[in-house]
Amino acid sequence: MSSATPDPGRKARSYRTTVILTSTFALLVSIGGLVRAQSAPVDLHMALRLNKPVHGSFVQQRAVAGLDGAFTSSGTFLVVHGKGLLWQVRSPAGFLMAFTPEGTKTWDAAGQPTQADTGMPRQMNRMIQDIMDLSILEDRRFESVVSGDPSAWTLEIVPKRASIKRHLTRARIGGDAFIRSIEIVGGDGSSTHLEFTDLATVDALTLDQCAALGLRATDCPAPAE
Amino acid sequence: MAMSRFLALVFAATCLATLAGLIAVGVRGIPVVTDLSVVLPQSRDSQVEVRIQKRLNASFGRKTVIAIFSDDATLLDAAADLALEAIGHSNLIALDPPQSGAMESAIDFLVAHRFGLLDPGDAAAITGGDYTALEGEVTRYLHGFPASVRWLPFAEDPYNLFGRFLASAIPMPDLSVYDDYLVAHRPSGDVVLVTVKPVAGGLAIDSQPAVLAAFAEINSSLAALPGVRVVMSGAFFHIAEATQKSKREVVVISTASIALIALIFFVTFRAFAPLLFAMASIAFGFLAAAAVTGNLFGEIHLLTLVFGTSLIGLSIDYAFHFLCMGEASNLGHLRKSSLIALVSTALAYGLLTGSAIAVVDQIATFAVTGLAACWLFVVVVYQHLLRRSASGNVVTLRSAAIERIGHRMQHLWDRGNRVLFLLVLAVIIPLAAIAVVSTGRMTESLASLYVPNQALLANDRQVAEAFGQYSPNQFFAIEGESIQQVLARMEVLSPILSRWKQEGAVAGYQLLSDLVPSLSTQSRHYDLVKRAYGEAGQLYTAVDLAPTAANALRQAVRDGDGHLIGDDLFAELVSTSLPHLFLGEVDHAVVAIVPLQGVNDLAALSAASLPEGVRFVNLVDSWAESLRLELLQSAQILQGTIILIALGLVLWFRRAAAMLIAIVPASAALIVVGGLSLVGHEISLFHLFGLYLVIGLGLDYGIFIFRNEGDDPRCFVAVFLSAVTTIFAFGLLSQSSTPMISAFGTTIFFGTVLNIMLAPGIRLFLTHADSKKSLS
Repeated sequence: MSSATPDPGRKARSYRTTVILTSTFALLVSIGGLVRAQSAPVDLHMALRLNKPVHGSFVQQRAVAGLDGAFTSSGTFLVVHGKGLLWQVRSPAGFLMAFTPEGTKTWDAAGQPTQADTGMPRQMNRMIQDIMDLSILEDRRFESVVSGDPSAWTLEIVPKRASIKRHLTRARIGGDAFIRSIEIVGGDGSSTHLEFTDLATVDALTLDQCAALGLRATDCPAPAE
Repeated sequence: MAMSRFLALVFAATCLATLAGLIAVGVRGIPVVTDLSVVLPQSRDSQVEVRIQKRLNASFGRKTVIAIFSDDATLLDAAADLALEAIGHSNLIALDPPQSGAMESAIDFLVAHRFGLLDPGDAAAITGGDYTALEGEVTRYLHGFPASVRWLPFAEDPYNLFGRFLASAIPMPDLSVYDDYLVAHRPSGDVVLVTVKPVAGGLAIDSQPAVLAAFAEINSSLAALPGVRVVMSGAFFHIAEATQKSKREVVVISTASIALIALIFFVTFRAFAPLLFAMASIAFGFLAAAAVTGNLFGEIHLLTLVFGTSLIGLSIDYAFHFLCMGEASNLGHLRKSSLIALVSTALAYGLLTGSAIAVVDQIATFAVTGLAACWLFVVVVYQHLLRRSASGNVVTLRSAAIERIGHRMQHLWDRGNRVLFLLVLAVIIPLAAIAVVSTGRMTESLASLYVPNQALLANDRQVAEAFGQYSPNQFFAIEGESIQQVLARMEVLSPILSRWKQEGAVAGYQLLSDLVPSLSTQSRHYDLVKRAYGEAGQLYTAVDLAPTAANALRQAVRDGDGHLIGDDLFAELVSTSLPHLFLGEVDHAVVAIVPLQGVNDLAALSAASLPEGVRFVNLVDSWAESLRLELLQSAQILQGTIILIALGLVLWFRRAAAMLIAIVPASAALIVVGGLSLVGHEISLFHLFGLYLVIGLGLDYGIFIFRNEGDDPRCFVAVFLSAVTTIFAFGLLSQSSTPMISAFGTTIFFGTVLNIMLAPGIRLFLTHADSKKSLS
């Protein structure tokens, strides 16, 4: 696949939990930055209530049935607790994706919007927000199993409902003080592996970042005075 | 004698037939129906509309829902658990878990036929040779955040054409589906929606109080949670309320009527035998009516029981006349007079069987059958009682006060003369007519029939909003000669609906052709898909599919030619998965439904110029118009009935004065309407139905007086007694909280008062009365 500039398109709407869960897991990466090293996974849940945005880099490897080899991409991300996720792909193509409770948007490398709201069901975006603070652990539609210890833990999530399993088979998150990796196996036979590096909390967002997340200036995280 | 034997045989046969009929309905069980839509006219268009409404209600709106509102997600979960536990413990209501299977199976069906299905935007892009957006979709799937969910594996639909088609064709409400309930996500907070259903027998009238109590218990346990608000909604609550209210009123009216009748009997005859005789005649009439109606219609509506029982109660007239005047020498005369009265009343009721309103047809059948059976009972049984009586009379009038009232009624108009009587009629009739013309207003509002509980309606609205339900009362009906024609007409309607949605006239809609386009559109889409995925498809220059995957995709596209959705497959899909979008064939026309959400601009939709075969339906207005037409038609029938009866009576009695038998009740009817109009009442269909009975009653009084030549004061005692019972019984009905019952009762109450004031005036025109008056 060429690294051509992303083009406008449409996104299908449906209640596809894969979107949510995969988003959720990615967001967990940022949430993981708030984990206190001495905490057990259950403490992760408490620690994730901290509201600082988290920034980091990612490398994504995606294997798709019907295509030879794996597709590698890299970039940076920003997650803001309760507000959304910005996913900036830099290689092989340059485009920005924003996932918020109001929907999903994308921009091309020149900053031009490439599509309108995908119409991804709002409950899917909402699930992303839920996962940001790990309240997905209490979502009755999923079985969650946490193992390990605070220095090396693993969270496995499996949907209970067949309608969700159709799109998502399972997901696994691993980390220590931060979420370090996410693996997603889709119901269509695809698999995605994410590795996160350079993780850090940030005190403030730029105006562009706030605008991309659809935040008003008053809602935009700023440095404490 | 021969006539007596014949009547006895008919009575015996009627008894046997009634018994057989009752056994038949007893074995089958006879449902008592409470659905008020039967009050609505039954025109063909109206019937299609009612069927569509029922289909939409079955799909969306008639479920019983417990909606739990809270800002706190944790509390919401706890409340949901509490509700589920309470439902699990109840033996009267059961959980009705959410079903997403229908839509999933519809999507699976469409997957197999996907090459004829395209999102309009994708169709336009491929037509224009612009694959930029499609290829961008592939880039985002492969390299973007793994949030792009697809219904099909990548290799089967790299451009996600089917996914975008589904997204545009199926409007998805903001609902999360859990095992036992749904959660609706609203800007103001989430709502848990638990759907329940009464267990077997729970909808029966006798079970309703217990089921209501079960819901009340769930409500109170949930309401105890802080920050939780509970709303219960569904047809069950409306039906239960209407049923319990009607039941209370029936009990009150029946009890009071029976008590008064018993008192009147005892005061008049100082014996219980006459009361037993009269009650037995009414009971026999009721049983015969129930047997016939139950077998003919397969069910009895609650309104039939309420109205029909009241109407049969009028048959106490026959018993009163026989008891007051029933010596052996008079039997033949009474039999004939009561038969003429029965025929004229039956004619008045019988014409109602032509009503476009189904339940009125049933009420008329019930009443005519009951009256006839009652008459038969009185005539045959009285004769038998008379034979066994040593005194030559079954009973004797024992109340001097009642006899004096009868005497006064007999001579009510003696101070005047024929000219005066006619002058009075000549003055009050035009005055009443002027009142009707100048102040009279007819109402076709549905509120004139029944006013639903506003609190229950508010609950329904809240739940409908949370569910994102479609309105059962506003929709488009698309008709055509064939499925393809209907789909083609929908495709013409589609841009109009899209524009209305953008403008905010409607919040949403579901168009069947968005999901299953016409065959010609599918063929066009298939050609476009071939450009993208076919042998030399654009895809293969942009995406490096593995050879096996590419070959499989090309083969699938080749096979797709035979997989377009034709009429047979269409019928299979809609019957199993989309019944709320397709009604089927009605009178050789194919009818489809376009349900609407959030209709904000009724005027725009009502006034819009629509494509051929497309009709916007606003049921409230539609039914109001049908009621108006029914009202006008019934008024015309009533006028014709009066003229017909008047002529018939003149021919039967061979006297012009016999015309007064019809003129008197007609005058009473007109005065009632004029009076109601003057005080601001709007005349509804059930006022008009009441007028039928005013005329029937007045005919009874007039026939007995006329046949009696005004001679016997006991005739007037009988008229007075039957009028008093009618006035009281229908006076009670006039106090009903149901508008149509109240209208019925009020009309008959005032009409009967006028009848007994005017009917004695007939005596002035009778030969014997003239001579007796001159002697006195």
